Amino acid sequence: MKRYFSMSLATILMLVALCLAPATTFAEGPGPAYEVRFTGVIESVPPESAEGTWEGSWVVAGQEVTVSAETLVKPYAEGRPPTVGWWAAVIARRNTDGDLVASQIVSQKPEIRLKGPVNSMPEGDAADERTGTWVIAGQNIEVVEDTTFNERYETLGEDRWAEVFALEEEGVLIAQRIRSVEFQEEVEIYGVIQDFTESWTLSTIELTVTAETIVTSEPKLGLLAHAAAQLEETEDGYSLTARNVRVMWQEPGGRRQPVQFRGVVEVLPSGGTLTGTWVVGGREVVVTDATVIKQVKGLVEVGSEVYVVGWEDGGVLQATKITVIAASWRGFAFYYAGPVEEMPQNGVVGYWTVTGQRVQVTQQTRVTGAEYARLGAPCEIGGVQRQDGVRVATWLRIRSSDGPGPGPTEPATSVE
Amino acid sequence: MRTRGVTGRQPQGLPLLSGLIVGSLLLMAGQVAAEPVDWATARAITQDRPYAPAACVEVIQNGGFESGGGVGWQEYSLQDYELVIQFNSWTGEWGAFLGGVNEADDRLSQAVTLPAGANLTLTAWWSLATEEEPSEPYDTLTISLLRQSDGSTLATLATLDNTAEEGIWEQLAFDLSSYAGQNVTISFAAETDISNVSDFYLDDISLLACTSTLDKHLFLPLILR
Repeated sequence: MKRYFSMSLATILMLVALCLAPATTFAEGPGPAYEVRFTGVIESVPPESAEGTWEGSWVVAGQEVTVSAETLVKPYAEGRPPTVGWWAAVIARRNTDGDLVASQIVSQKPEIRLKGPVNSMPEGDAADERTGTWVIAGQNIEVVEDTTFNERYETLGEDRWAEVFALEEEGVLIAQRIRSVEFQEEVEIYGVIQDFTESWTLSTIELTVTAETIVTSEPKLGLLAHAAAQLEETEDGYSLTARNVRVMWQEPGGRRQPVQFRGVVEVLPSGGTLTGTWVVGGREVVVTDATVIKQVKGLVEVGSEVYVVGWEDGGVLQATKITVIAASWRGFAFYYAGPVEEMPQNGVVGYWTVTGQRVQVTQQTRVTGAEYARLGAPCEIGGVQRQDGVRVATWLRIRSSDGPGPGPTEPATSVE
Repeated sequence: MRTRGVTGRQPQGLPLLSGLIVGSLLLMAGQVAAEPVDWATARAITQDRPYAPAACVEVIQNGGFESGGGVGWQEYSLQDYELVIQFNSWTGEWGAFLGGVNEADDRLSQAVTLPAGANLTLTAWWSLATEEEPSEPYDTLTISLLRQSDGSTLATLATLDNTAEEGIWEQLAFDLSSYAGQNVTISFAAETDISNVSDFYLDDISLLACTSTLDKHLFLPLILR
């Protein structure tokens, strides 16, 4: 009997040791082993063993990754094992010989996410009248009978903002779910890098990447990427120009190291614009036109608390996104779309009236399409309403009267 | 250390610990069985006292929401939204959706009696979509036990928020055994601030009340000896 108790104790101790082993091994691993995180398409996966594991060699976005008994593999759901073509979020250790050994792999359904304005949709509110081709952020999206909708934020309609979750089937994006979302200045895309030569393609969605576009990490085919892009009109329809592209690859030692922190704005660029060098929490932050600036919870001003996301390169901190998280005052976000009814006589700074709403455009307002500025031109304007009632525009986009978008006779949209 | 996006009781360690203990016991049984054992006697005894797995009862009604709204759950929405909908479910077609608008105050609750003397485990799957930055918990989903008598909070099990990872379904688990014998209301309450909405999705909520017979069964080979 005593013997069995000794064995039991030894077994428990052994199991405890086994549970602790992966963490210990990782911390004390040989040489300069370090952690790599990336998300990409599963290209090959070993068959599931009788024990319900997937040990062996995986290929994710062209990267060979070893999965061992210690690897935590999370299937997307019960009965939905990791599958070729699905996505995987990988956390792996890069060994001294360059091999990648996974500590965790989370299998994900390959749902492309696209957030942008609804440019067109079939007419009718009934479920069966909604099936067909929608154009969201300039992209054709096929809405099928099984597509579900969530319109709690607001009823979906042209020029309203939507987020679509879609699966790619033979180059066509099939909507799984569509939900209404708040307006924002830029379109967002989350998908697979299918091309990054002259133009980029993320899950069939073409993006123009310019010299100003900030690209974090080296792109690789099959990796996922999140892009913030400007939607523009063309003669053929629409085009997307990327402000920044965050490639889902994170590895220490690279040239561009990701940085994120929060702090109080101490210095803003002179001249009233937002592009230039800021000082946030004692750190210099470079802000360019490619930086996404979110001013929904307040305006950027000295004293505002902001959240900075970007990367560091040679001691320079380049911001990809700055979000105001607390300002000296807190206002309501507004958004109007419609024809320009009133505008300053010289330049763009001053008071504008859009759909009967008077809005102040300042030097800090980010203006696109200024060359189209004239009475009657379709435009979108968003910003924050101060406590004194003045609406301050944080961005203004003016379009050519000839192109698609809200025309002079379109009903206005306002969200407050 | 605080798990990002979740504050409050962290029950995740319990399954690990109980799994470890159960695993150890099973291994012990296996090791002992490798020794010469009179399995004929063992089977006879087993037949006399047949293996009775922990008898579990599901306490929650319509935990997967597949019966739609209005079944089992009380729904309150300040802005009068239906909380049980067909949109983004973990399994099946239906799930619960709280938040999704600015200044939301949504509550999904179910009154239950927790069986006395039972081991009680509340589990739920949840997922987040948010326009907020992960810098600050502006929007929250609080999971609580309320006293049925006066609606006051008996325990806050967890507070989830917009700093969690988006688009991932995670399972939550809470050991409610210490509340056995009480009449409580299980509450999921979402609040969002003035801007940048967060969506909180819930599905497959389960509260299992189990009476364990584990000790009698797992130590059977030892008893034989």
